[in-house]
Amino acid sequence: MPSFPALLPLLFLGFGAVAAMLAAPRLPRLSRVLAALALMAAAATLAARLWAPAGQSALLSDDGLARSAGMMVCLAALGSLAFLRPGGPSKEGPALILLASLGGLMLAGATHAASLFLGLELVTLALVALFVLPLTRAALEAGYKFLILGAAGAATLLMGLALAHAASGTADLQAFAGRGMMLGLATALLMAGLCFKLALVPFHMWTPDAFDGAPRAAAAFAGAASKIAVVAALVRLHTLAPPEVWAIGLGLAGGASILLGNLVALRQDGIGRMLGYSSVAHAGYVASTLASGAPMAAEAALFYIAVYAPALLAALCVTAALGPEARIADLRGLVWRRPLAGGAMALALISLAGLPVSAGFFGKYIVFTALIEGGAWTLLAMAIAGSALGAYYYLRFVALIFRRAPDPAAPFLPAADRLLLLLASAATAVLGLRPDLLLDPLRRLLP
Amino acid sequence: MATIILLAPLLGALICGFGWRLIGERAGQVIATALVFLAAALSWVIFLTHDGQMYQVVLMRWIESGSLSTEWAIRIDRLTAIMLVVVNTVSALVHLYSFGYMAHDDNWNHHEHYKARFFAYLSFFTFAMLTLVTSDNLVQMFFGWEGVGVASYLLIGFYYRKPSANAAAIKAFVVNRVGDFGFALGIMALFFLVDSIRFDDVFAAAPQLAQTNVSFLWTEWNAANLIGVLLFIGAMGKSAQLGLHTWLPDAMEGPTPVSALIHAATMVTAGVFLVCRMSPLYEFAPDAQTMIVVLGATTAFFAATVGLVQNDIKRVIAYSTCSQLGYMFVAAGVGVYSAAMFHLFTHAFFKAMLFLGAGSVIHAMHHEQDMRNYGGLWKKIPLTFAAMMIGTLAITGVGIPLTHIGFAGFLSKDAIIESAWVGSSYAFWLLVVAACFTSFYSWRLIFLTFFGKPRGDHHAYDHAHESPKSMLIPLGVLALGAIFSGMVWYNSFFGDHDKVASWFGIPHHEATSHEGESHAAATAEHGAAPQAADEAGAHAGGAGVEGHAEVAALGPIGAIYIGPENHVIDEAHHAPVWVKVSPFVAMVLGFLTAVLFYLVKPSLPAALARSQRPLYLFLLNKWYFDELFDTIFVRPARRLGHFLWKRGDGAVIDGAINGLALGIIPALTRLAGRAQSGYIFHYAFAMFLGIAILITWMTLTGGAN
Repeated sequence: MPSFPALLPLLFLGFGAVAAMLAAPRLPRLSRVLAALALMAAAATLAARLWAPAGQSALLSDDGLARSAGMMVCLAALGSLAFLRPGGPSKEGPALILLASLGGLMLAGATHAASLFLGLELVTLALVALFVLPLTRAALEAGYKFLILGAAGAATLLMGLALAHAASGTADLQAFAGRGMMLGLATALLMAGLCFKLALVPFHMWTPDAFDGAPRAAAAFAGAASKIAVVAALVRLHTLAPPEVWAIGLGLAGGASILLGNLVALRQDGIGRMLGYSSVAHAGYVASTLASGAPMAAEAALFYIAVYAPALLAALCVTAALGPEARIADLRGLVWRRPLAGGAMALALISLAGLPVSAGFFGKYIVFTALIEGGAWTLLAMAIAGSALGAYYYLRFVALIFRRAPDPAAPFLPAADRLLLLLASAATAVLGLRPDLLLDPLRRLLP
Repeated sequence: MATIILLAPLLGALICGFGWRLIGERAGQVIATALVFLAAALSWVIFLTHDGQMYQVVLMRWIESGSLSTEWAIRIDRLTAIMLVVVNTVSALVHLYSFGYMAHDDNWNHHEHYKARFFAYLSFFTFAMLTLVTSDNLVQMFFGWEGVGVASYLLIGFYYRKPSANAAAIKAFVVNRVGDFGFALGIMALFFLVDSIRFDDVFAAAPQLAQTNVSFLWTEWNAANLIGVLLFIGAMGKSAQLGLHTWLPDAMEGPTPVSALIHAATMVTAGVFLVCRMSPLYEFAPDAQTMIVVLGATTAFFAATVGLVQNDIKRVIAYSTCSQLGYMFVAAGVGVYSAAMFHLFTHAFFKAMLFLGAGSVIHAMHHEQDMRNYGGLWKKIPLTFAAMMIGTLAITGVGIPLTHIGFAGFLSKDAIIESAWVGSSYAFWLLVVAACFTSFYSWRLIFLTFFGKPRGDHHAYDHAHESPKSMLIPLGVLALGAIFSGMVWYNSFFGDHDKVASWFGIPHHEATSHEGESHAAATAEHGAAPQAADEAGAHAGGAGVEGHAEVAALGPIGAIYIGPENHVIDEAHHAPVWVKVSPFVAMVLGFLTAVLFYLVKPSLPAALARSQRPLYLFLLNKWYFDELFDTIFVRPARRLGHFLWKRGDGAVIDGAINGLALGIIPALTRLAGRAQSGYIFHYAFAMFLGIAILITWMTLTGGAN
């Protein structure tokens, strides 16, 4: 039986969602504040219990992995909330973010088919609602596609879980540890469902539309918080079931994502679409790492997605400030017009490209180390090629930021945005100098 | 005190190099010079008061990585003390000399500030050299080794508008890289085998190394020999030994004070210092020693022959340096490290003096360097003439045979030749012949420059003038060294067995058991501590903060190590009379030939050159080493580089990248972009295709077992 404190974060998020929903129609500001408070409380509770002894219930595990991943989900959600633009016909955004975070937390702790499915669906459905919030044509298109494809993905996943249950007689995730034709089939279907959430090729199709048409904050949640949760679930699976079987599928999808995501991102001039495809590629790095079978794969994957999150949040926050149709040309001279936004954007892109001195460099470094350690040479070659491509298109954007701009118009940045940019940049820079600050705790927290 | 010696030149280099814009060029020069003089004065204090016991001053922890643990420490023993004196004295005098020599330079315009840069480089070089000689471990030594390499590169290429100077600088750097590669391999091999690069650990492990075999380049090697050879390759590069000597003559493109400091007195002797420093290792590496003797003797002979026919005054002295370094290596190779250090010590004085004297001549003759255009200069520049005479008397080894009275070179060179007689007859005969040649080319230089009729530009001759005081004072000081340094320290370096032992801090019963050694180490510790404390107290001001750390020496005690079977030094003392007289006879022979050729019958050299044309050309072209290397290494490398550049890089890599970037990648992205059609059924189709692939692959591979 998990103790009451272990449930506290879930309670904060659940009741917070209800409260935010109640406040939304009349007092949209209060709703945001309540949501932020709930997220902070959840993150604080998780942080306080980070090193507490592990607990286990039928559905959820309460251990270092669940807590650290849950905390990162909450922080990433908080970041997304910061630049979730209020207003418009629907004001339920903050409540939806809380619900999605609740799903993320469940996913991070899931040890059972039921909790895994519940968590995943909570995230997906809340995200669908978040995507369509502005009720614009593009947003509706993104949300609709995500809904339909997500339903297909969920069905696949559910089928996989059912088959695993049929094969082993248990709905525990440990069922996937076995061998046999039926379990192979089950694992393949489960992988397909998870790959959809991670936006791996060929289940990635929803991503560019979401990054382009949906609110940037929703895209940020889909790209950062939700992916952290899925990676945590994969890491859990990694520890419960030997990765040999499902590593094949993950490796295939990961390698394809690295190549395709980077290749297509090369040609994008819209910042949103570029970030969308690059998000596919980054998920590919994580998947490849987990597929490599290296002993350090789990912490490498979590570290990578953890340093990816602040960079993505900063980049999307700046993109949001530049307007709904932000293109590469809008970045010209940004650093001279808005030093904070320009600097944060440049640092974020450098981190995404994996150049020193930024956290992304160590992310790439540890991923490559894991690939070498696991002897996954083909994946390593793909990752290196992908990084080379990535450096090219990210730096294309970075260079423009520092050009002298003819037009001095400065985008508007609310206080919350500025705070987010500052914190995200600080995290990226500090982890770029001292990666051990995050890596060491992760190493000790992971089972 | 040692810390001040080490850091004063660095401070000078920094102030002069970066601060002269604030304090003025002149002030920068003065400060740099003053600091080096301070270092020189303190070096003499250490040299004269040192009691032979080694002690260390730890400055900081430097590199910690795995089992590699390196401190930046100053190791003071007799070897270091000798090198400190040599380096700092010559450096201080060269700094002073440069005030006069660099005052006006046609290579620069009036408004250009080259002097501060020059002095900063000189001081930086001094710092690097001091790092090298005070090092306590091989990595620190390597740091200094590379530091002097950089300084040498900067100073050879000081006149960077001259293409020849740039080429010479690059040549020096590249040739030294070859040697450094060997040196670095040696260090790595030591670390690999001993798991430490500290001298104490390495020396302690030397006997075991001699019984270890390692495989390198598909061959089984004795570890001690292998490391000895690798380290010697490094020494060959720095000390311009045969094969890697080609850079030294070209290095004369640098200003003359640089030649005196770096390419005569200090940096080029680093190789000799390295071999002497590693004496505990070389005593267990007989094959490496043989290699050193053979190469050293051959170099001494080769360089002397080439020196016979060179016409550029600085190149003659450069080849003479090369030759004298060969002498030192022979002494080190036969196991008489003290004699090698003795010659290093005396050579520093007289060779620096010859170079500075040559600089004075060049200065007087308005940067004319060809000796054929000199002549009759002694009346014009009598003081320079006197200095050059003393230098020549010293290098040719003038003295009274069978006594210990003579110029510095007489004592040190004879010590080497006597040792060579014991160690290797090949080396002995080559060295004697080389001594004859040395005498000939040195006197040839004097006769061509100072005697006879002026042969060159009369305008230059008429305007030849004595150099300023700042240039003459260093000559005077060095003259003292060239005359007396041999006689004063003969017994300490070579003459008396017991004195040598106590001078270098070698315990009397070297071959005793290990307990005896550790006991000696303990006494050494006690002996050194009060002395170190005294010094720190006496020279307050900075010296008080020095942390004196005495580490009990685990390995052989003393600055140099002489194995129990090594009695070369004693046997050399008992060499027959004809052996002891032979260098003197050779010297007289060379002198008489020079007199005949250049005073009595000046037409003879030309006639001889005509009749023996092939031999003359062979020597004039320095045994065709440059041409040989050009054919073997440079041209094939260029051809390969050209091929790789045009075909490899241009056609294959650029072509592939361009093809990839301009052809394949856009095509791929267009293809992938078309898949992103926006139709949801396309998306779903892709998903189900993916699921199908996953299922097929995973059930087949996962379900099979």
